[in-house]
Amino acid sequence: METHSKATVAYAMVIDLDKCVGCGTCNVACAIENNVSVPPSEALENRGLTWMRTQRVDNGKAWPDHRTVTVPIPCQHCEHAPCIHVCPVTAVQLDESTGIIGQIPTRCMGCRYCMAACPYHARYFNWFDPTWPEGLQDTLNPDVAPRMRGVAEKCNFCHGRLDRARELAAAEGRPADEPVHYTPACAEACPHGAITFGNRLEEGGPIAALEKKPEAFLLLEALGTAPKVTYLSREPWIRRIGLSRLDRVRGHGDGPEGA
Amino acid sequence: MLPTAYEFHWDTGHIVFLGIFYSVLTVVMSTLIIASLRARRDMNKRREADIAWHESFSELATERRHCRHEFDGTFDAKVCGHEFACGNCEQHRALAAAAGGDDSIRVPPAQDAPATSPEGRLYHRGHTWVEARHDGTYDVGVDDLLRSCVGNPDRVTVPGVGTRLMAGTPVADLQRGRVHARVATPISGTVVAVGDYEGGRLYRLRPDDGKARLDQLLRATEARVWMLRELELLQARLTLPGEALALADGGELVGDLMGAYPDADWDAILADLCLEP
Amino acid sequence: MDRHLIQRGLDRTTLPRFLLWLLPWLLLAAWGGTSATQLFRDGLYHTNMDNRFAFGLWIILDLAIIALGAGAFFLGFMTYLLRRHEFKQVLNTAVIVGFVCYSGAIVTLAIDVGQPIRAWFAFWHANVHSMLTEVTFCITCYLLVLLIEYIPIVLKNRRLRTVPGAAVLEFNLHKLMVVFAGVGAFLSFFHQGSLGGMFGVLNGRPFAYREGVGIWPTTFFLFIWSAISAGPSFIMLITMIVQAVTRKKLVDDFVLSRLGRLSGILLSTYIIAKVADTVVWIMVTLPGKGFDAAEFYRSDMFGAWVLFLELTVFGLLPATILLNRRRVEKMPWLIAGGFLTCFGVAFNRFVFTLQTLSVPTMSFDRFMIYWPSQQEWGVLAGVFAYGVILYSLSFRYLNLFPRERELQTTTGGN
Repeated sequence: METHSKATVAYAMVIDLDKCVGCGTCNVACAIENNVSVPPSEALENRGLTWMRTQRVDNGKAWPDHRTVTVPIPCQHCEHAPCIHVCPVTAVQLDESTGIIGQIPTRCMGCRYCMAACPYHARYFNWFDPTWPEGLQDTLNPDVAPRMRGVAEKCNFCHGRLDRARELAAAEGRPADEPVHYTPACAEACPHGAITFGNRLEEGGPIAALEKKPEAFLLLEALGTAPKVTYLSREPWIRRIGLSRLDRVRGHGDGPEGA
Repeated sequence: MLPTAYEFHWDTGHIVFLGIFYSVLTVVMSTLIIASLRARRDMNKRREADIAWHESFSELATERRHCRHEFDGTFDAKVCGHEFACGNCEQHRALAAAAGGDDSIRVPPAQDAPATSPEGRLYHRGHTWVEARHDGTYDVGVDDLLRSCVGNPDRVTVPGVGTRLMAGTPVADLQRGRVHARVATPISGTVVAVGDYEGGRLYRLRPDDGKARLDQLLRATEARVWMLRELELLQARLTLPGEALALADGGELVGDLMGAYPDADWDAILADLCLEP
Repeated sequence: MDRHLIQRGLDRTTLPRFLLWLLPWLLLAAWGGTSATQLFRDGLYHTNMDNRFAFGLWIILDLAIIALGAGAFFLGFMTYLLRRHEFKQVLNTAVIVGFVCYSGAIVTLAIDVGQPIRAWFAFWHANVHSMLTEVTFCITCYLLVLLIEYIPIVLKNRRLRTVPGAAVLEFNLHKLMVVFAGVGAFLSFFHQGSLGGMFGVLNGRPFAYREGVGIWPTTFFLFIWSAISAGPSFIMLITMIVQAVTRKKLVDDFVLSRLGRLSGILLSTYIIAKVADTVVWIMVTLPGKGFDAAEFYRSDMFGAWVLFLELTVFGLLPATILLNRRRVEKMPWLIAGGFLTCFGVAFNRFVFTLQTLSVPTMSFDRFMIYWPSQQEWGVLAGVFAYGVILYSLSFRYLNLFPRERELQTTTGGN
């Protein structure tokens, strides 16, 4: 699949938090697209599976100054990903032709070192055997393999859709080294168009323009992981949630629960 | 792990990491193989007895490793560093040469006169004695101390005629109750006759190369001092702290110590006496 | 009943009493076995780990027992390569304790991973840049070395040594033991370090991340240093416990004192390095990552006392006790110093595992706590019981303390 030269494609995502209403459609669309299994209802809160966590964050102030925002957090596909070099079995790999951090579930041995390494908690472990509620098996996507118990999984920017796009491009007779365009399920499903996806290296493309906007920010930029998911907001307090210093935002310990 | 594996690249990381890994494995495995080959070579050369003795000697308590020249008064205190192989000891050779080089055993003059006198015996530290016979064979027996300990054994097992024995190997077995004394043969050779325990002899040996190696055995003068020391050690083990020494005042050795002190750890005592770990 | 298997002259209790002693440990081991069966059969949802607490009790256990097991390689190194023969008195114990620690850690790891059947992938698909790969390779190789070091001790069993050739093999293995001691020291050096490196390289986890020295983060060196300072203390404590349980004198007191002092010397230098590392972490590393150390010590569970405790009560205090020549000759001081040292290294591993995962990274994360499930405790209990059982069997049927017989006869004890 080394069809794209490394310099021309780096898929990236921009999420406009001002447009997000927290409906969770991205989360559901992602789960259906990627055959994310549904753990039994007795699973602990932090044992769920999702590739697109939607996390409610507030400004920590009392009414009438209280404000909340929902932050969709997929894998950030960091340029300096903390999860790649830690994996002992080479199950996490950077595809240099797309910039996508891939997870190979059939090779993962479930040591969960990558999960400890990820500051965004964007990796999830299959604590249970994969199951779906009655009837939902019929909706499984034949392009994406479900994951077995005991392995880690995470967002791969809908790699199945990328493959489909490449097949289509090949069928149309376009040159193999020409970057293909495709849209992941979350971006497609968002009813408010809050999620933009594309090639950040494309001259004059939408991603490059959005990433340069003054309201753009990254999660934990100071860590140096260089995420490829950028967030937008005109609200200063929302832009500060990407900072790591807790005291810049509010007191600690009373925030909302993670997914 | 192998260059054929999908992820393998000939880069510095792989070469250094896997290079070290395979070097470690090679060192560990080749050391194991060398040890096994050496073990096999030692077995082929029939060195089991030497090695077993080497191991046993290293486990002997210091108090049981005194040099024979302590017994003849040459040294006040000296611990043997040659595993009782006095022939390998420079100091012993020098001392023996100064004393006239008489390291041999007195052979009785008359052709068929048995060497009954204990003076003619040489003693092994495993509480056996050796007596030379005129025809070049040697009688081997258990000394008085060990005999008094065991008393009347329930069973005595001695090697049969024709058995080849290697010095230092336990060959005879004196069993009393659950306790065994495994008596090591003081010299190497082939058994030519079996004696009877009651009579004091265990067996008669003919050395394989004609002449027995006797340098490690104690002469009667040394043996007397040595035996007294052994007796003291034995008394210490049989006597509870604070109790008077039962045998110290010149009393005769009781003929059946196992019967007299049934509670003592005879398993360990007999092993000590027979130099068996 | 089993007299003929026990070394002559060693006083061991009767077989029924020995079995009675084993009984509670066998029950604990059964608890561990049941837990392991459940976990293998049903999956890791029986634990209380979750997506945030990806590591839990078992990783703490692995790190702690591997650090405490460092006595095996370090004393082997001291005895065979530096020719400090006084440590021969406790070397067999060190080898068995090391074997227990490493095999226990590997079993726990096998339960801990989600797909144990794929464990060999760590070799086949090795990612040579991962610290965990280095750990896996080194621990496996070192367990092999420990097994080889264990064999001669087993071959000296009263019954086995009568097997033709056993003594010859033992003799030849023992002659080459210096090679194994050297290889063991080399391997241990790397995996003790890599276990620390595992945390130090987490560039997304500022609590654990440390600056690099060469290709390794400072934790690589700190973990080696703390492990070799705790190793001798642990062997000393184990020996004391065995002496107390069996009511026998097994080694000369001066050996225990020297083990304690060895720990003291290493621990005092470690503490200096640890303080320096902490200062660099607070002043340089954390600000560079946009963090403030105070944030990490603000929860109910992990206050600043954690750092204080680690550096003083588990660092300076035992170091000053064990460095003092007169104090290490007094048993209560020696026990206190050794215990604090060992507990300190375990506490350090606990902090690195649990606090790293507890503290938030993103501004809207919460401080979290975790308590292990019954099955997780079960595995811990099982590993502990396995260690006690293996050591008890070894103590009964093998001659672990070369000076035991002499010490029995000279002190007149039973």
